Amino acid sequence: MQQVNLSNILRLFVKHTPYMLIILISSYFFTPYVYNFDKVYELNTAIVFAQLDFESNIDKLLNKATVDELLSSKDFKNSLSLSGGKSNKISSFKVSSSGNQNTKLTKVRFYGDNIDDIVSTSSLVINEFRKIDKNIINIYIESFKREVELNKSIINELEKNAKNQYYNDVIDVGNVNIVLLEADDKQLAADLGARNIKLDRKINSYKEISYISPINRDSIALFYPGKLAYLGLSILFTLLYFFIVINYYYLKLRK
Amino acid sequence: MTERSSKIIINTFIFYLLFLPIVQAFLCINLKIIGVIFFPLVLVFYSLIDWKKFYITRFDASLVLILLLLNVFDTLIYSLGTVFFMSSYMIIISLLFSKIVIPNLSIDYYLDRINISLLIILFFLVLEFLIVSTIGSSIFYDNLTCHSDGVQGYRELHNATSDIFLMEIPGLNSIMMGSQTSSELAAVISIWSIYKYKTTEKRFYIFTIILSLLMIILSPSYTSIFLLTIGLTLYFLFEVYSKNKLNIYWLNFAPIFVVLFSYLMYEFLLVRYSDPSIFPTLFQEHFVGFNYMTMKELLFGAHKLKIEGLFASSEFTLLTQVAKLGILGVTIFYGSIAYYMLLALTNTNATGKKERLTTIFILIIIVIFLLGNVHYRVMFQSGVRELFLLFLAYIMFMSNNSCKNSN
Repeated sequence: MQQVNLSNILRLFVKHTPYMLIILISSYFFTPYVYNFDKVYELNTAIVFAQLDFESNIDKLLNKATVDELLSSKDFKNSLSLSGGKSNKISSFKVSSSGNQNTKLTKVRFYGDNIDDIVSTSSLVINEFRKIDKNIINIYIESFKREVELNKSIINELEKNAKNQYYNDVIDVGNVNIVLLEADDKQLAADLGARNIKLDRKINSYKEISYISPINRDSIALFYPGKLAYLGLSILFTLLYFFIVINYYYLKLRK
Repeated sequence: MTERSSKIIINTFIFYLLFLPIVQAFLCINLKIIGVIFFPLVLVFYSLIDWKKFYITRFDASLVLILLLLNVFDTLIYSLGTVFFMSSYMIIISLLFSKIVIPNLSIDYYLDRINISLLIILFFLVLEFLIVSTIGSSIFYDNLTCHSDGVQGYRELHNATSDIFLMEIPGLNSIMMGSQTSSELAAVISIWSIYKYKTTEKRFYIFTIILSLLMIILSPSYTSIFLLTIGLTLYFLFEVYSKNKLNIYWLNFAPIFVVLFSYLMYEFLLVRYSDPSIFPTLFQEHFVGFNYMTMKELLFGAHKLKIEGLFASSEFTLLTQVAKLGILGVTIFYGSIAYYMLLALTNTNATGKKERLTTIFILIIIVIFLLGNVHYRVMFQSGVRELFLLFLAYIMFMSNNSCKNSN
């Protein structure tokens, strides 16, 4: 086995420094174009929670604590796999560890090796949350809708009664002509009408849970390899070059 | 590099390794970074000054470059962090010691430093036992307990001997801190003392042999007894091999010894795991984590967070090390150590009797360190790791000597 002193190795290093620099710089700039494996994409977004006009029931909908917990849970990911079917792989996601103090939204990071998987996973996640919210809110919305229908039918009934008393004025079908009604019925119809307006506002005030901005393929960015990885790869190539040079040098010495 | 500067470096290093664990535990601050940066820098500086005396083999150069490649890959490309940094530090610092420090010192001086450091550890071990058995261990708990990340503080340990003799003495920690360190170091000291007695024939070393064995008995661990038995068996095999005329009479005892040793180990295992039927489950718990790792993770190592969730049991640190560094990293680290060991062993044929004995004993001690690390990482923790590096540096020095001889 051959031994050489450090001075020889350092001379060899100095001699090959220009080549090594060329390899280092050129590989740093060329690697991004040729590197085509092990890519990781990421989507940084935030989930905005469902909103309602009626404050009394808002605590029953998904809030920050529950969403954070669900996103960290393995069971939730399994449920996504079940509902997602076999068309797309479920990509990884997690609650962002930094800057996630805002109670009105949850910052979430989706990442994986396929852009389509990330897009489908993000929509699966939000749909799953919407399902959970709808299970709670639908009871109220449906009851409001039923109440509106009921009120309308009562108003119609009142109008019909007014017709039956042979008042000769024209009654607009579908609208309440309060002038034709008796005083008590007038008040009741007005109250019910006002109530219906309020209920309609409540029904329309529900804004379901969603992402802060719409998700599409353009929202997803390349996370890995980043600049640091390209730097690492270029150093790796340079070291590999020197590794070959040194071994060749020792082989030459043996001869 | 002059002999004086080599002496200063080696003495500083020994001072650092002996007092680093205790100072870290007392201040509860991770200080190992000081040594990790300071010593390589000083040694690289001296190697650059003395560049014409610094000889490098093809394997040394390739190994250093491979270590650099792995570190670059893990840190910058694979985003695993500095997982391979400590292993690289261990190999590089040993190489630097073997190339710069040891050649400028007499071998006797170097071995004498190792001897002194081991005697200091033994002295403090005895002192700790005396304090713990008389005053109590509260003085250590109050001052040296530390739960900071990366710092091994004084730990309350169960002592099997106390149970047998109905004493209320906890297990010893030694100045290196942590569980099992004291007993495993006592095993190393006993093997070293046998070597010292064989080479110097001073009665003092019979005393240190007895004292170190007593320390193992007073604060035992299954691993230390196993390691000591392995060490003694290797020594016995070396003795049998080195004799010109093989004594057949003694060889008759070999099967009896093997049976007795196996039975003893089985009994010891039963102390820890009363039901042997747990072993298949235990075995599965250790290996099942690898099933969830990708081929890339198996080769280059998995992320810390992934490993935490995969391995339910951590009885064998080596497996966690494989998961962390990958098969490639572990093979490079242990493979390079094994290479230097084999080279040094081959070289023993070309050296004098004393050098041969020294190399064989140091090889046995290195085997003890490496096997001790299979179970818990106590033999590679701050302080103990540096002690291991002194032995490894000697082996690297001897392996390089073989190169010089062959040239």
